[in-house]
Amino acid sequence: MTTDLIVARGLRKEFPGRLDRDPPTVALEALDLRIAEHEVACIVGPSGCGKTTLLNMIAGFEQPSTGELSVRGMPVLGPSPERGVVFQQAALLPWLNVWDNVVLGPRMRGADRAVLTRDAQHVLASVGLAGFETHYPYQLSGGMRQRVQIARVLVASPDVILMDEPFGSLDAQTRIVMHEVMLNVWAEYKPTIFFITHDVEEALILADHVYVMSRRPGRLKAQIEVPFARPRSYGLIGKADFAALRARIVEMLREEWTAATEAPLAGSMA
Amino acid sequence: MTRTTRMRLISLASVVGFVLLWAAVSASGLVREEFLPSPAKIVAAFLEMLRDGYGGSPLWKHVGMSVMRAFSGFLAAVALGVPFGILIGRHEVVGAMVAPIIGFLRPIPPIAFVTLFVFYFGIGEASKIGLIFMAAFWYVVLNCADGVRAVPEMLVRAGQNMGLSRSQLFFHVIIPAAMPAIMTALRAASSICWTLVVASELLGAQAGLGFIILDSAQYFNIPATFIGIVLIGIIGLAWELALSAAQRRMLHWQGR
Repeated sequence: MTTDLIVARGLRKEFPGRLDRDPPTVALEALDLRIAEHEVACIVGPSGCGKTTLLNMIAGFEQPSTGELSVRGMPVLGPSPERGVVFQQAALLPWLNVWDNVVLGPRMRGADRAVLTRDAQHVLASVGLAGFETHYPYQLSGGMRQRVQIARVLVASPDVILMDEPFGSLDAQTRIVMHEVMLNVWAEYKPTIFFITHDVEEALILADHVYVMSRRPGRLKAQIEVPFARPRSYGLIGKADFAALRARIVEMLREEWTAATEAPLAGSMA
Repeated sequence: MTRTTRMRLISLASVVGFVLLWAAVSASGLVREEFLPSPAKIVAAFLEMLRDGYGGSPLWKHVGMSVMRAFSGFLAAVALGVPFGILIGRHEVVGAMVAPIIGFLRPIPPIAFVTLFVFYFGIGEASKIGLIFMAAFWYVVLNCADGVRAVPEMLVRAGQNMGLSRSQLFFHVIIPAAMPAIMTALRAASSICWTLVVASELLGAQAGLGFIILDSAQYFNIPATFIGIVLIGIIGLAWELALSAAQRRMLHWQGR
């Protein structure tokens, strides 16, 4: 029996219109979601369906308009290293080297120096950055920068890692390497991962469950179990059941996408 | 030869070419000697000025006075303008309060206040430094405020996500992220200060490079006027180069 780590009930989020007379944009409506501890949850959905809004609410950057959102039974009140975010673009501090980027948070919270040094060395090795401690972000490739972000989140031993299309801007080869990094990180730390992506293949490689969201206002359309055993490898992609599952999810997305483009435009996203 | 060396040689050749052209024009007699002294004559006058000084004061004292005035105004503008600008950039309410005042004051050339400054502070150092200060101050304030406002929301969120407190976020994320804009503001402000030295030395100065320029022109000592102008140019250039080298070193990550 697994316990639910993230629970959303009747979650709704609306943004005020750009002008006072504009109607508010409803990004999410009546969203129910349960994500188990140690689960890798990949969220897919058409553009503008509120995936990022959901992530921002779990991260504590934004508050729900109505409804309930809790992590480990506690309502989310604001940002916390317990819910570490890996941003899409490198959100590293460009004036700090890799090491200082990773240790800044714990150091500011008064972490024990010796313990922090050991932990930081450990997470950097886990993401394949040993030896890059004194490099600055501008000296790293896009994939390496995302590894630093992952290490920065891992060093705080978070309840959940929130990832917003973290590999969306990487080239195809680098993305495959990063999937392997993620599979290894999960095997080693077993974190709960909330992972937004456009890429159904990526979702099927990484996830325990794929959550398909509807067009805006976003609801949970389907929760699909990904049955492939771990540890996983890229060989999966060639299997017939992988292709079938992929086709099923793409079809669900296509329905939403078609409906969204045929529906009249109801205000733009804030 | 690397590309950089080649470009440097081209720049150097351009300077030499300019001086040669100048010498040729003054030697040709196209322009009267009194209006455009030859480079040789200016060098001779410069050596003489190094030995005998100008207007009863040694040359280093003139240079020192101008540098002191510009630097005092600059330091005061930085010391008050940087914190004030950051405050405006961080606090919407303060920003809204001062926006109309700055908006009104900014387009007025600082020189317009010369007579008032003399009336308030007399013709001593206070009115000169005050004028330099005022011109640089608003510039520093506005650009620091813009720099703080332009800090990417993503970095702020990353800092919050690391669990930084408000003051940690301010000192470890917002200030360093705004440093490139702040440094650029300081560089521009320092050149404004240097520009205004000459104008401030209109206010009855007895020493300074601006004084040399004004005084020598009144007595048709045109070589001395040119020396004053060239010295102002050289010192301004050296200061700008030093500041941009410092910026490149300190903010090596900027724009990369």
